[in-house]
Amino acid sequence: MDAELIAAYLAGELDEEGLALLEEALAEDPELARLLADQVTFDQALRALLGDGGADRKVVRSVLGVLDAKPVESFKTDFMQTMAPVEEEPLVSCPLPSRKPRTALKTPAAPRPARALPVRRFAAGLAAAVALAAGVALLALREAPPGPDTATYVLSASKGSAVKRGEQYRSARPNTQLQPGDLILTGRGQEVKIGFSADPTRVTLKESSELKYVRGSNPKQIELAKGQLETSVAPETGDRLIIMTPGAEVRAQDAQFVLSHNGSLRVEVRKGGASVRRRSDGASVALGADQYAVVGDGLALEARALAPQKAPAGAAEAAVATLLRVQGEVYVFAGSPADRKRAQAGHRMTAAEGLVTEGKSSLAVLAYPDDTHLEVAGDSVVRKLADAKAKHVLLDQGAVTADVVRQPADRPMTLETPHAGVRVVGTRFVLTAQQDFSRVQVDEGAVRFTRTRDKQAVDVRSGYYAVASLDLPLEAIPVPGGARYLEIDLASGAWDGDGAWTVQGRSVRQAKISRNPDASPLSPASNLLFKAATDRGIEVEAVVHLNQVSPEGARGQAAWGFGLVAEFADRSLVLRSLQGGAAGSAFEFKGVKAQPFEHGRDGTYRMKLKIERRKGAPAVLQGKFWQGDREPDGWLIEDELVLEGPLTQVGFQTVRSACTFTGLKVKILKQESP
Amino acid sequence: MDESSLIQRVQEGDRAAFAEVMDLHVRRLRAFIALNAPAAHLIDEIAHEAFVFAYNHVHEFQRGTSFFAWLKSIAWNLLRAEVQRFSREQANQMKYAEQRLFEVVPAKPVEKATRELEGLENCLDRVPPKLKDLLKMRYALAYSTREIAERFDQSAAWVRTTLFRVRRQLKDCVESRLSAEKS
Repeated sequence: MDAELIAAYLAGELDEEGLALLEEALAEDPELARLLADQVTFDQALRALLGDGGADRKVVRSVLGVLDAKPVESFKTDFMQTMAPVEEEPLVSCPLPSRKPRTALKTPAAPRPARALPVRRFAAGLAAAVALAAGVALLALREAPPGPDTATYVLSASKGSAVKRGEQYRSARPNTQLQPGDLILTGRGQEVKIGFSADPTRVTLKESSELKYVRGSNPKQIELAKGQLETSVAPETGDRLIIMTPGAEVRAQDAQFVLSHNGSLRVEVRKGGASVRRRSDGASVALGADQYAVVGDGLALEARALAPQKAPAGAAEAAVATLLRVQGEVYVFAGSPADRKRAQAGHRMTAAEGLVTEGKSSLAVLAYPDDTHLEVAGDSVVRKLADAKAKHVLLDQGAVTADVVRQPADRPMTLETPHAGVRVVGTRFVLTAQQDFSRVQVDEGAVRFTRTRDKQAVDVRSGYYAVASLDLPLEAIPVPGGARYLEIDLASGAWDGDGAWTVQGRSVRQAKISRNPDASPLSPASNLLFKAATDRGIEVEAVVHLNQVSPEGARGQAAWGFGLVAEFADRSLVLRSLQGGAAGSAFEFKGVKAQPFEHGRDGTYRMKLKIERRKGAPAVLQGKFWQGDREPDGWLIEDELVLEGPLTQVGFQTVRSACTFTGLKVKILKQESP
Repeated sequence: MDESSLIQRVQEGDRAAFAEVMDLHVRRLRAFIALNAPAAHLIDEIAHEAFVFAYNHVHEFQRGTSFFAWLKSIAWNLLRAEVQRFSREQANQMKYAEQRLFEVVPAKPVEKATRELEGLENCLDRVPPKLKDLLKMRYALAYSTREIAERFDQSAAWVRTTLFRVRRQLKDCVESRLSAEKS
């Protein structure tokens, strides 16, 4: 366990809970601190010894900059100009055909002079995506006997991309000449472009892909093991490009297309033509411009139109959810996941449509009409989102995170995987479907998790998970270091003061700006409180969208703000921002401590209130306030306060401001401090 | 040109020669600092300061002795001073894990630190090829844990744990060499 924590810490993959565990262990075990120190220093030393030299060069340049007495900014500029990746390098010793002379590109300082050679430019249609469908027909071209191979080069490469030659890995760099058998590897966000000296054909290998170089001419041949490539095959030279994949073969002589292979294969031709042959049975199809074909289970091998067909009048199907956000490789399909089209934010999903996300960084966020959210990420296939009666999600593989608004008791939301089902009334959880098992982990609320095989079920509450598989007992297990959250029923809050509160889904809105002056017996504040019971410490956080505030008036008469409230048996604790007050703008524990703090009159803010209970000692209060996604490490305000009795309620407060509160979470802290 | 001649030119005021001297030693100097620094941000800072100090005091260097050893002793002293200052001034801002590193990364003699670096370089040569690939992906190509996991067809946890074990084995190898040298 300790080794795992240290390993994750060094990889930068330790979350807050894990860090707390590690620090706890460090406090108890001096030897662990020694082990951590060894791991950290060796990690640093390996990075220094094995790195690609970029950091070394930075140090040298920074020293020279100081010795030259250059201003810091100019040295930085000089350095960046030197170190910036060169998009296209002139090919050294590369007899490319030329149409017109071109000024040599400037190259970084190199041990030998770079010979600039004219490079032919090509239309931007390289970006055409060719999904190579299974079973592409062979081109009716006679095979020319293979000629001598021609030099093939890396034209441009993102930092981090690699070429594997034999057992050796090396960074992919411009001007690298490829040898038959070389494997080009790209990671997330990386691309490599290769060119053939015999003709202007270009191949761009996209992120998270693997490509094997076979030969450079007569015919040019590459193998796409996985991922995606875009290519523009030149028409003039008479030489074809053959792209092999595990299940199919594509041939093209004058075309711009994109090919992607992640399990199933898809080719989209934007210009010219290509043929696809399925290896398993030799079936083939010829594709023209704006056509695509898919090689996938259960799909016929045929040319399909890329442009979406217009639905016949009256055939429009009601939308069951809307795609709010799309990131990376996200596709919508009807029928088979292999036959899909790229998804766009704003697309209204019908009950007949499913969703595919590909790649670690891909993400799709959907919202149902009642504000239930579904997040689909990584390599996932969601075959269905709803049926006629209720929300019903079919997850074939991958992971979804669900934030489910309270559902009608007679129409709960259900999610199914090949191994299990989840019945949800209102909660937040992550459901994962792998090949041999499914897993649910609940952050907030509870779900009923049913194993499909034998209908055995278990209730899984916040801070617990369960796994449905053939060989494991079905039980709710505490998440190691996992957080437990209180289930808050937003629909059952009670409010007081001068406000107008409404709840919609997971959003809570206060729309009234109080006109009560400070001197009035009627407070300008308004609170909305929800039941929340625990005698342990808590951490409350929420997102506040500041819609409108009191107009600026005389100082001391127009203070406005918003905050979080925690009610205890003996007192009420309010963490809030109060702007324009008599004592100035502040971030404060009301009546306890105030910290000068000022912010704008609109925007989105995040607040966190932590109350750590201690036996026989005052509770420790901590608060923070920030904008954006990056939460600051430290606390903006801290103090101690004697609190008696358990927590009874949590909620929101506004003072002469109209706000919308979202993302309310109440985490139960692990244990009382001694 | 050999290093001694380069140093002579530096002492005669040739700044370009100093750039060549830095190129000779920057990687190992950074590795030396890295083996003894409780936080990564100190590595480049101390390396920078050490070179600047060396240039400004190059007339004090005795030709015929090891320039790299001189650099290391400069870096060592700078590192110790900076660690003390940083932990004193930044204690409130650091997470507890970082604080412990500043407390525990030892102030060992520079000679021992030197031998550790040489030991590490030697022990790296003995790492099996597959694990060398893993190290290269992590440290040379800066692949993420997940990307490495995909390449090896293993889980992310396997990558993290294996890296942990390799680092520990390298540490053990270095310690064995130091013990053998002592005896």
